[in-house]
Amino acid sequence: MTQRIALDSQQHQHYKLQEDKLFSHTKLAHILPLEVNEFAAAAAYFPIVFVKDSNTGQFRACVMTGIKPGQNLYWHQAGWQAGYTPQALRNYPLLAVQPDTTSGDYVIVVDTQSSLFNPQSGHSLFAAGQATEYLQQRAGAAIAQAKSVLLTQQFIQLLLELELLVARTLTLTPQGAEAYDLTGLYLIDEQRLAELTDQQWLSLRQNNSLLAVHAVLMSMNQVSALIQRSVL
Amino acid sequence: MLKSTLDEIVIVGGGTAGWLTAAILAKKLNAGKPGSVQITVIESPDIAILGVGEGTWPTMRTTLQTVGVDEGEFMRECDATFKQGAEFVNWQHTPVPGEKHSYFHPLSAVFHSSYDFNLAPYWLQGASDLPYDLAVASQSRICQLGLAPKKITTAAYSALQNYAYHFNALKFAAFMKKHCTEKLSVRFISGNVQQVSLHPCGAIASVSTDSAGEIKADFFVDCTGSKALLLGEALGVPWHGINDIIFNDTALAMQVPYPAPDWPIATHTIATAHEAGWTWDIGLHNRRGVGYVYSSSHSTDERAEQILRQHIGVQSEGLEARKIKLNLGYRQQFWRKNCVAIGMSAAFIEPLEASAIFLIEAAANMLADQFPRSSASLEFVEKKFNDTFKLRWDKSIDFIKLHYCISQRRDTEYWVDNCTDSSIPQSLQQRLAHWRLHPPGKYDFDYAFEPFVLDSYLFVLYGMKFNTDISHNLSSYSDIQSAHQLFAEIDRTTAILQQQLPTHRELLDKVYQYGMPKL
Ligand SMILES: Cc1cc2nc3c(=O)[nH]c(=O)nc-3n(C[C@H](O)[C@H](O)[C@H](O)COP(=O)(O)OP(=O)(O)OC[C@H]3O[C@@H](n4cnc5c(N)ncnc54)[C@H](O)[C@@H]3O)c2cc1C
Repeated sequence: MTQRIALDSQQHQHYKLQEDKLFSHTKLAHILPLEVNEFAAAAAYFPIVFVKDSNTGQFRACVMTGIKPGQNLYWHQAGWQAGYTPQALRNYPLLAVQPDTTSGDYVIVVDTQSSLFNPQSGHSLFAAGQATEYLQQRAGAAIAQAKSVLLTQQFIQLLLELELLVARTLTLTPQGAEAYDLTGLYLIDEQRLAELTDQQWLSLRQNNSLLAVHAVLMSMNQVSALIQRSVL
Repeated sequence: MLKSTLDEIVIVGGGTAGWLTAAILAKKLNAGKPGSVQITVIESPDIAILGVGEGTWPTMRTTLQTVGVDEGEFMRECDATFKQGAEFVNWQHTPVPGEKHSYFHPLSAVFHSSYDFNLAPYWLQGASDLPYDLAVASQSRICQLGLAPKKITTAAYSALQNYAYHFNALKFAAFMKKHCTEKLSVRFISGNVQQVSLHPCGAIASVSTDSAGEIKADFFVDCTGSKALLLGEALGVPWHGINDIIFNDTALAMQVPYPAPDWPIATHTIATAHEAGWTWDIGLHNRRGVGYVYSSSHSTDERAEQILRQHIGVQSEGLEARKIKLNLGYRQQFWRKNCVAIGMSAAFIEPLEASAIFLIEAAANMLADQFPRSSASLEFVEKKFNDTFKLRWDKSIDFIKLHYCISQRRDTEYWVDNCTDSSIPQSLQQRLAHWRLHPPGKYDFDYAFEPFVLDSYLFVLYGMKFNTDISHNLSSYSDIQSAHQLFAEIDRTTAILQQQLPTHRELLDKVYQYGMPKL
């Protein structure tokens, strides 16, 4: 369970942040969040799918890193096994949130369950009551992620309006094991995409969404790569 | 003379009936598209709508989805909650002071419909230790636990357990008005209809309003509530009273706040029987709607208010009760010439099974599906509509009466009178006589538009401990093994649902915050 609290220059003045290039917190995650500005970079390595957040029912975009819950085929003690790392992983354990959407200000929160956040070792966060340069740079990245989350939501909203998302069950048959269904995944329906009216096409283009749609479709090629990885 | 094609429809009245009818007609007849009909609603700015009907049926889900309403938005705007059935408290026998007994009539028989395998004869033989309602339906137990019928990840209008809504009737009419005028090309006129003019043939030609003058149309829908301005007043169609069968002719209504903002919200209507009627208790998101429906021949208004306040308890202090007279019965014709009445103008029984809005939807759907675009077809459709709705109302009356006439309560004259044979329709008496020796089966409900079907009857009959003696015919019900399997499956389903479903309030808070996923 993650537990988030806002970073505070008083309370956390002696705290430090370590970096974990292995992203060990994702060791058991078969899906990981991805934002729309990362689709093109991620599509060459992972299938990009849409899932519902179990807490809000809202759709979000994810890469698949395993073919069953509890499995991350890209995690390895020798290092992350893909040429791209989603920004959410890089920013962990930091996250930027907007407590009050009208003011637009962001607050940086941290997952206090993470051992990367500790008083002993790593980069200092505060000096003389001020955020260090290191923290400023990490906070900037977290804010950039938060902004791209909004873009992703708009993109998904457009897909829903155009009825391009469909529920798909992936039936997987690992070697020597019984077939099973991975449910709860939503993909872009190529058939419906082909049936869009000119006006609907135009709305995709005007929203700068064509590239993202194509990236998602291209990323489907990674499903077989993922399955292969699972039998290695 | 009527035109040969009917192109202009005027709906008079903007209550639940008026706006639901407008939405269904506009959607199904593609109002606003070239060559389609034009739909206009005229609503009085001075006469308030009734504003009390807060309980619906699962058909409302289909209706709202069909007319293109966003479910999450509707719920948030109308303080709506999920309704999974009704709990009938103290109906079966006279309660000793302090005692409470009850049974559920859940909306879901989805996973174990008695059409395929009727569990009742096995339950009657003692194949389950549970009361009937709990034995045959997971949903009764889900209601008891106060759990929601779905999860936040369940798509809008989809369900894990069948559901309808409770909503604020005033807000619902306003919401539908906005939807109709902004999204469905319905024209709106605010004004009082003061006069109705007829063609020589007796059809309605126009209505005159104070604000917009005379408004002509080819077809009129009377949604003016108990006034029945068009069908009743102008066309003179008489009322068929049913006071000899159903006695509750008065209602006292109150809006009761929750003691705390996080107070649990019941996911079913609670209908509690009293000495001269019953109280409803409907949990909306921000308050409860509570009221007493009673017989003015069996109770004074003062006594009724006392019962209502006692029932609510301290929460009722300082709250005002609103009194509403109920005119029970239906029009001898619902449709005459080019006018059809929908809503309180057409009929009203009493709110016990919340069937009024359901029958509004049914009437609007049939009107839309059968709309006689050519006036030559009017007569034919008129007859069909009148026949089917007379049947549906008569069947609804039978079902409402069933709740009373098989009770063992005899604590007051009210209950004695309700159980007297002369107050029970022949059709119901005959069926009850049959059901004393045979459990009801699907062949007892063979009409395509039966408002209350087999499962509903079974829940009420055996919830009320109606005695069906099948000892002479046990040989017909020997598949005990299948029955045990089904009962066990219902237990399993309940256990799974219990694990997965959030509480009713938990889900509502999320729906209000995030809406519902489209798929
Ligand atoms: C106590 C009680 C509880 C109920 N509970 C339920 C329930 O749980 N479930 C359920 O399904 N039903 C219930 N009902 C029934 C339900 O309330 C009605 O079916 C529903 O409100 C429909 O009303 P209506 O639209 O026909 O009439 P109204 O709401 O009375 O609307 C009449 C409309 O006609 C307009 N009008 C009247 N005269 C004129 C005129 N001269 N010119 C222009 N406009 C005019 C008014 O302005 C108003 O807009 C209950 C009823 C009562 C009394």
